[in-house]
This record gives sequence, structure tokens and C-alpha cells, in this order.
Amino acid sequence: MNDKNTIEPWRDEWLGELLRELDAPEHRPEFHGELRRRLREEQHAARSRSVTRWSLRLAAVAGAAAVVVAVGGLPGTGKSPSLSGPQAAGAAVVKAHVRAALASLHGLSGVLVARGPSENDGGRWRFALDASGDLWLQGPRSGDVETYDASAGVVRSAQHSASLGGGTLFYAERSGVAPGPPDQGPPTWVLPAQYGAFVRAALADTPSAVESTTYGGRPAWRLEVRTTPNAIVPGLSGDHLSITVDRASGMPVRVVERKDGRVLRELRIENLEVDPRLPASTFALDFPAGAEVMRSDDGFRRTELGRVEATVGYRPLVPSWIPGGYRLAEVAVAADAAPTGKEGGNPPSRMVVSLAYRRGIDQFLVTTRVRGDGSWSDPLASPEGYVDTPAQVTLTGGAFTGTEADVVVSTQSSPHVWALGDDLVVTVDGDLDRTELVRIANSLSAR
Amino acid sequence: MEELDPITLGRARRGDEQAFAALVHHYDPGLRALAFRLLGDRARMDDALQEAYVNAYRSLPRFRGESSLGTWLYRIAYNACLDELKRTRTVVDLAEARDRAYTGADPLDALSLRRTLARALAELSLEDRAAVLLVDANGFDYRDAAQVLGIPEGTVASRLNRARAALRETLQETWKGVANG
Repeated sequence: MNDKNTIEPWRDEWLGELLRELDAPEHRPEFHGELRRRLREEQHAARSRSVTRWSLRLAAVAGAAAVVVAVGGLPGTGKSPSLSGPQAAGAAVVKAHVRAALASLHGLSGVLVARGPSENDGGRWRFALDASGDLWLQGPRSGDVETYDASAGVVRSAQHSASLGGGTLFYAERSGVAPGPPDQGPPTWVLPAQYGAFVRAALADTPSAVESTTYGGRPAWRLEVRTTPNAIVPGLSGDHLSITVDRASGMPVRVVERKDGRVLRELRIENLEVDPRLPASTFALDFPAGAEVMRSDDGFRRTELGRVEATVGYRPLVPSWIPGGYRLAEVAVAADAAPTGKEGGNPPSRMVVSLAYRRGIDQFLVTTRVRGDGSWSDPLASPEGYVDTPAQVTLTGGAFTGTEADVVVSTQSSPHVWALGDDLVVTVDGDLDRTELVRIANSLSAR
Repeated sequence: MEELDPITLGRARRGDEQAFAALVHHYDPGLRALAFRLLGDRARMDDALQEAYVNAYRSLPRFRGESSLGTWLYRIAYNACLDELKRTRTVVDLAEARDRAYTGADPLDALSLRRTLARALAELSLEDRAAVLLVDANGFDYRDAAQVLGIPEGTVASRLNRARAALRETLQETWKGVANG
């Protein structure tokens, strides 16, 4: 039978035995020593990333704060529904205010306080971020600082080692940083973090009631939303989130994650300032003279739209439609970048173009990369232990007309759409609702 | 392929350096064989596997077990080999690779199937070579091999057919030559 859909696996045992008899040389003598050294460097880098991930989570709350601060702090334009009354507000009302106000937000600063299941989950961080994408984080230990320069794509840090202890600061500089997902972006990229993603997904798509309550004796709103625990660590992962928002300031003063009614984690923001006056030096971090700095390069280079083709060999795909208020803020290209997707399981990323659009401190990204050989899964899949349930759509316009695309709006990843074209893999991801995601994807054309 | 025991895997996932060393020790012979046969020399094999092990160490905490650890690790190593080939932008000289394929440890090898097989293997395309090494030499089933190579199972089957036919033809010619004196 010659049915191409029928595969009858078999193993050529004779050939296999001969192949196994072929010699392969041992490693060079210094191989394992080099590997140990690199793994220790990686441990250090991982600690930095761990702090960064935590920072992401904190910044996410700050981002959520910004959203709701914007809601509460809206000028009386008369165009948006009022949230000042005693009645419970609907998610749609909140969304309308958010949409109307985000463009006016230029920056945030404050202190984030966290406590969690283990001692290491707690701490205090001072933070500041602005609409250009720059970030400054200080904490949890005195002397720990991390900064991100968005225009240069550089993250710099001075941090203590959690495992080695002592007072030694380790310095690191990570250059060539991608603007954001699906490539590993800067700490300012708040959307992938759990809480920020939840708030945004709830505002974007999930019907969610907003209840009236009090907090600290002050009128507040509380968003109560069910969420799916992580399948790998269900005992340490919540099934319920509560976000309490102070009505007067519009600030989410408390975020609580619960499992079976038991509190797992709590985050709260203190001393929040909207549009603070931040000196330019806020986002700078100078290393001490003679300090040993661990340097790494993620491979992304900022460029101009007109120069993209010279690097990647194809004309950039640019949306002809974007939501009001957004502007193209960054264009970055990388000839090679780390694989995307769950467990980094996608083929290597080649000839990547990342376009970042910003509106206030909100952001969305359009990325393309060469498809090449190999099978692809969602480059923006939720973290390990979560299962996405994408909605499939057929794109009806632009460069990907007729292509099947997956739209994912979940509490564990930022809202996104991705599609596999004949030559390119495309993602659109960020502060967008389902309709906007698809509309942008339908409007992509070579420029 | 025998998998690493789950206790060691759990320790390695938590960043235990000794457990990760055990993981490397467990899978290294097979990965060395694959990388050496794909890249054609030891220096490039070492460079590719350094990258593969560091990538694996970095990604291991996120390993979910959707595939076996071996499949996951071989995929990382295979991608590292592809990266190494692109990075060095060096075309492997087949004649040179054939010479390297001969270990020369035993003078009788000059007439052995092993040498002939190594030469024939070096002449296969990279893709066909990888398929036959994974399935026939390393015992991967088609599904796992497809995951490692990032291709459909049907493509694995077609690559295997091509590789096996070429290798067997060369080996049979050698046998005839030996038999005819």
C-alpha cells in the first residue's frame, strides 16, 4: 500500500549496530572545566534574571496601577462614563476609561511591597518608569539597582548574590536587548508578568465585575477574578485574584493571589506618584571604576525602518492600522536571536524584526522572523504549567491574507495573535483587545 | 535510550550543579556521537555541545516534560550543531571528513565496514545523516526524531529511506569487494 499518510516506523537494527560502533572522540581536556565555569556564570545571570522576573511582576503591578490611576485620574472630558458614583462599575466602563486616559500618562514612581509563600518572595522595591520605556529598580537589598535604557537596548545591574551571601555586588550589562516578547525583552516590559497580564486581559476581554468595597477605611473597588492554577505547582499557584483599587487615587493598592481561599501572595504599592519629575540621571547606572562587569549581548540592534531590509533581507511588515494614540517608538533587528516558545522549543529565530508601538507607558509589538525549517508553536505561549486555548481566525487582509492565526487572551500571557506564513512567523502582542489584535494583523504590509 | 532518573532530573532542574553534571555524563556519549558525525571534527563538536549544555542548563527549570528529557536535550544539541555550522560558515570538506571519520586505531579497520560506513555517512546530507543517527543508532522512534529535527514524521521516514538505501548500497559494494579479494 502506498498511502503517504501511513507511516510504518521500523528500525534498521543491523545498520544501527554498525553506526553505534563508530567512534566519537572524547572532549578536549579542558571541556568540562570550561563548562563548569560557564554554568557558574549562567547561575549568576539566572539570579539576575530572577530579580528581573520579580521586577517584571512588580512593574506589572505598577503598570496595572498606571491603568487604574489613569482611570481614576481622568480629566472630566465628558466623553467617558463616570466611575465616581457608589454603584459597582463594570469592566467595560473601566476599559473605556483606560482607553481614553492611557495616552496622557508619562511616568510612574513608587514603592512595591511583596510577601509570598517563602521568605525569598518578600521584599521592597523602589521603582520609576517613563513613557520612553526606561526603567529604574532599586532593591530588595540596599545597593541592588537595575536600569534599562530603551533607546540603546541596554540593561545594567548591580546586585548582591542571593546564594553566595555577603556584601559583594555583582555588575552586569546586557546589551542588544529586544524591545519585548516573544523575544526576551527588558524589565520594563510589564505585560507578560502575571498580574499585569491578568488586569489587561480582564480589561481586554474577560467579563469581570468590579465590586464596591473599602480599603483602609477608604472607598475602593475590588476586581474578583478566577484564574487557572499552574499544573506543575498547583499548591503554590492561585485560583483567584483580588485587585483592590483606591477610588480617590485610582490606584490598585493591593493585589492578592489565593488558592482555595488561602492567601498565597500579596503585593501592594506605596507612595505612588503619577507623572513624577524624574531627572535624566534616574535611569543611569555607572559602574565603579575597575569593576568586573559581566557583559552579554542579545543581538538586537536599534535601527530605522528604511534600513531594516539591509539587515534581514526582507522589507519590514508594518501595520497600516493601529489604535489611536499609539506611535512607532522602536525598530530593532537581529540576524540571530534565541528561540521562542515553550521551553525555547521553536526553531532558532533568524532575521528578526521587532517594531514597538507605545502609548503612554503601554506598548504593543509586531515581530516577524524567518520561518525556515522546523515546526513552530506559539512563540508567546503561557509559562510552563499553563495551557492556552487559542481562538483560530483566518486573516482576511494584508500580507497574511488567507493565513490561519491563533488569538490568545489569557491571564497568563499578554494578549497576542500569531501566524505562520509561507516565509515568516508573525506576532502581534500587547495592550490590545481581541478585535484590535486581529485588525492589526490584517493590516500588515511590506514597506 | 535510557532516561535520567527523576530524582537527579529534579535536582538538576533546581540548578544543582552536580546533578546537572550527572545529566551531562548520562547523555554525553550519544550527543558526542551525533554532534561529531554532523560537524565532522572535534573542535566544532565541543563548541556546539558547550552551547547546548549551557542552553539546556538555562532552560531546564522550564522543562515541562511534554517530551522526554532525551528528546528535549537532543533537540537543543541538534539546533546547536546547526548554529555551529552557520556560525563558522565553513563547508565541511567531505574528503577531509572521511579521513577524520577513520579513527585509525586498528590497522585492520582499513578493510572494515566501520570505516566504509563512516565515509558513507559523511557523504549523506546533514538532514539524512541526523535522521539515521537518531533512529537507527540512538533508538529514537519516528515521533521523537521528528521532534528533535523539527519536521513531520513523514519527512523523517523519507529521510531515513534515503539514508538507509545509500548506506546499505555502499556497504554491500564493500562486502562484494572484500569477498572478491
